[in-house]
Amino acid sequence: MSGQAWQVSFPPFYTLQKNEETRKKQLDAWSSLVIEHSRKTSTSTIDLSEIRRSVLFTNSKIERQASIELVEAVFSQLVQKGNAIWKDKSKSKCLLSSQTFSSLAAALYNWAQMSGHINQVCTIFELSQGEEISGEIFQNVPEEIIIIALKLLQKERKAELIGTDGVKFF
Amino acid sequence: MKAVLGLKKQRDELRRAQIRADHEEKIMKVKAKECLSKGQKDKALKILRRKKAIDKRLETTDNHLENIQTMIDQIQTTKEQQQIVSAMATGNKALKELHTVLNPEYVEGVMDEVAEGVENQQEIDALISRTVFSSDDEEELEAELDALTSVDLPTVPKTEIDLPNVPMGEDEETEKASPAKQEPILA
Repeated sequence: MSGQAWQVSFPPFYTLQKNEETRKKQLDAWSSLVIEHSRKTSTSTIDLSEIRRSVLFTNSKIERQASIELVEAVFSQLVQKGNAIWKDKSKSKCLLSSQTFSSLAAALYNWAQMSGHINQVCTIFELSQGEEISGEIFQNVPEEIIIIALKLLQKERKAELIGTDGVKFF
Repeated sequence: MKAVLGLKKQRDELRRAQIRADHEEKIMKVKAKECLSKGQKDKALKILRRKKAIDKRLETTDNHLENIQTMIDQIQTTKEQQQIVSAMATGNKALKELHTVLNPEYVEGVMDEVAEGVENQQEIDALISRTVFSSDDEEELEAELDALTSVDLPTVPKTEIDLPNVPMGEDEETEKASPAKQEPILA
């Protein structure tokens, strides 16, 4: 994190870089900044134009604000890496998770196996706030994000969502 | 399955209510202290009364939660028992089907046949292992040896004639051996 402090006050950091390698480093740095920011503010639903105006993407000291294309590129990369998912077709809002959805899915399924919850119904609330999941990486993760991880398991036929608030593991 | 989910949803709802009440209680405590420090004793008392009401609500919520959890557990246990019984019924059916093929009379018949076969084999063994020639041969060979070593023994051929009953002795031996053989086979 300390290495990123200089970037925040480095004007070119706020414009999408043309050189492929530089751009990759720039986007990686922005990605971790965004994840860190969402963890601190404990927000998971992010409005792209709103976050662009926030202190994260704006530095008044050097009079810089990230370009729209840069913000879009950062979030596209987060989506690609499995840390975020678009909430609308116009890609103006996304749901961000500090853990990738696939690692959450793996942790959820592992928990279900270890705790004997295979063939059992659980509520999404239980998986996020329940007493049985303390210490797991998905503890206190918003239910919305847990549902996306469960949908990945559903694709692998390891779970089935029941309505909007239940799940059964296989 | 639907019933368990419904109960669990209700349980979550109660947990949320509990969190809310906990939160409210904490706020009341702080407020009461504030009022006391300002000297508003009456107001503090009112707030404390409110806090007590919340306490009571929390207690009943706790009881409800426990009841729901018990019911969830009961449903799950009964479901498991039902599965066990149905698995055992399936097993029992399979066992019965097998018994229609494998009944005691059939087994007895097979075992009798096996015993007969073993007996026959033993008889054959005894017959086949009986030495037919060897004793005669040996006598002949010994006689020849004697003839070679000592020239003064013309009576030797006579003993050869006196021994036709030797094979009978060997027969008795094989008969003695056979019951010993039979025992481990039957066991």
